[in-house]
Amino acid sequence: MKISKKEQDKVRANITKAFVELVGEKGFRKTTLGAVAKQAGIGGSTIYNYFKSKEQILFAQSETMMLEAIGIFNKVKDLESYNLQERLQLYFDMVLERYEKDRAFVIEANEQISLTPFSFVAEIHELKAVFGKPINEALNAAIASGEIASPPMQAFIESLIADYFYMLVYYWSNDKSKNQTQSVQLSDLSLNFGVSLLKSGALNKGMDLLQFLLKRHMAGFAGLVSQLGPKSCGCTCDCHKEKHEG
Amino acid sequence: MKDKETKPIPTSKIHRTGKVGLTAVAVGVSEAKLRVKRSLGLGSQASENNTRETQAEKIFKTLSQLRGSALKAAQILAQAADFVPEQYQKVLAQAYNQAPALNRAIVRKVFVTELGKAPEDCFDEFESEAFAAASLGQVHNAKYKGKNWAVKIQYPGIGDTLDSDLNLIKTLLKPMTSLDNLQPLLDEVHEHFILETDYTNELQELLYFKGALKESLVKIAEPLKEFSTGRILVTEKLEGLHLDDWLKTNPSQKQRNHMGQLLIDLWDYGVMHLERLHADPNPGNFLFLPDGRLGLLDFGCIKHYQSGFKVKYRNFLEALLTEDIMNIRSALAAVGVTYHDDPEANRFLSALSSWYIRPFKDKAFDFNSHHGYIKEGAYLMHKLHEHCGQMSRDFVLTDRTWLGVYRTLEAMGATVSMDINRKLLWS
Repeated sequence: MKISKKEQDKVRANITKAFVELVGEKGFRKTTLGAVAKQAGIGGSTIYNYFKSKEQILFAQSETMMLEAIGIFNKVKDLESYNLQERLQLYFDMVLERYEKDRAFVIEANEQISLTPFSFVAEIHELKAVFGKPINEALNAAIASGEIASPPMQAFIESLIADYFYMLVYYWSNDKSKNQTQSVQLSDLSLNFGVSLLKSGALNKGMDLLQFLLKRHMAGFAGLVSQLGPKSCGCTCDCHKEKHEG
Repeated sequence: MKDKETKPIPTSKIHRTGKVGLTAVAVGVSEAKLRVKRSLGLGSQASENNTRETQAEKIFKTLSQLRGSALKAAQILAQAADFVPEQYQKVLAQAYNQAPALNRAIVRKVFVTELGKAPEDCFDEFESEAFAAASLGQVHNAKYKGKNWAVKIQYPGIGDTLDSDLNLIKTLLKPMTSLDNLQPLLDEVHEHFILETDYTNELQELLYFKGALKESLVKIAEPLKEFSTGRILVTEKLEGLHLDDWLKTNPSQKQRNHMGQLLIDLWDYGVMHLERLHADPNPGNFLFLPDGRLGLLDFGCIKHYQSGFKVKYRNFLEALLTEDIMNIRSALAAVGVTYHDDPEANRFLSALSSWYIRPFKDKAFDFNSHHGYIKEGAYLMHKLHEHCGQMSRDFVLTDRTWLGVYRTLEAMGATVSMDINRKLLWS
């Protein structure tokens, strides 16, 4: 029997809701697709029309939560007037606020992903792409307004910021303070530090230094190689001879 | 708002302890050197003062980096601790207007946590830049239902490190005073801090004083309960001038005297009638209103006395007027304060008592023509404190707050009546 798109979405939402509840209660490993189907009020085989595995639901739900938070973040008034730290901090806060609603599930899901990250390379990459978009936009806005100079390897910096957020989630998941105020403080202070580093242009200067050293060393190394060549070193071994002749 | 200090606050206990530990060692070493020099008869008063200035600078640098509860405790100590040498007090007092800055993301976070919605969704208009720094947060302008409001927002988790901070401060002040004398003050700081970090308590105090004081003399802001919580306090924005700005308008002597009398009577009325004292006489907490009223701000630091304190305190003032040292000792013992029974203690107690009653003896006391009066009192309190046997928690802040009010009266250049039998303006 064919069901409408609207009904399909409703069933899908029921499945993820049941999954979040069961993972939060029993943990990922003890949650079976059969139990999820039962809790969602559908048949044991019907669930496969929607999700092939528990992992698929886990990543789908993670992405949904992130998109919900991004949707709220993008609606913030005067967002374009926020500086880089405020913008990143607000974004991370909003994702954490969304996570807070399903805290037990998020903690369990993160633990599961961190246990076997190589099994989920593609999914993690996809999730990171979704998560990274507002970070990319925040950095571009800060560069455009002149708040920071264009950093070297911007994509790498964005990836680092995303990884930093996962560290923040880990801290948050262990934060026993009321309203997770310690996580708020950590995010405030660490972002303050990180953004100050970007503002100082230390990364650009570090890159200049690295390039200088590499070029000098490369040049020196090239010179050394040429000096070690048979023409100058007087080496008569066969291997060198072949190369030189070639 | 001026650019605020945005250096990161050391958060971990180890880091914070490390900072204070190093400073305490540095201060301890230089204090020890001073004592050795003094015992050998070496070194001048000037070099001793210089060393203390340097020590004070070290303490200030440490405390201003810790901020949070350490800073607040430092502020209360700066105001209250007469046993701390004057140089230390000056430096600690500089910390008054420093607090970790809350950026827009944190402000929003506090609102969402406390009220479930962002500030712009609560008010008709909300200024994202703060117009003033508060000791535990900052104050923003907002408009709501056609009125201007001051929105005080607390930095999240500011009280979390209170206990460890007080221990760190204890370590820092150890070289300068005995812990027995320091403990009542630290207990007082602890209690006040807990209350001060709860804005619902401040709201209750505000409402109490609003009901207890005459509206014809004082203006206390109307609170907006709808948006006030434990971490957010919204009150009507009062239009008036702070002391420095008021003095720039060159007020007449009559105006100075009127405002000064309001202030000293407010203090007396609090201790001797309400048994509840606005114990933070920092000039920033008063506003001079164009209609001649006094604007009272910040009800975070209110001292509640044990029942019966007002009678004991009046007995103490009457004992001072007898100028009999035994009477004074006995009245002090009744409020829980004792001093060692030795000639030096008696000498300082007698000198301090004379100092106390000087304004009471005159019909009107002109703070403008008694320069050095407050300094003398602070010195005598400091010296007498070295002979203290027992210090009462009720007495410790009362005394120091009084000194704070005197400082404001001196800055105002006011002449006031302090006759203990006078009819208070507030009665």
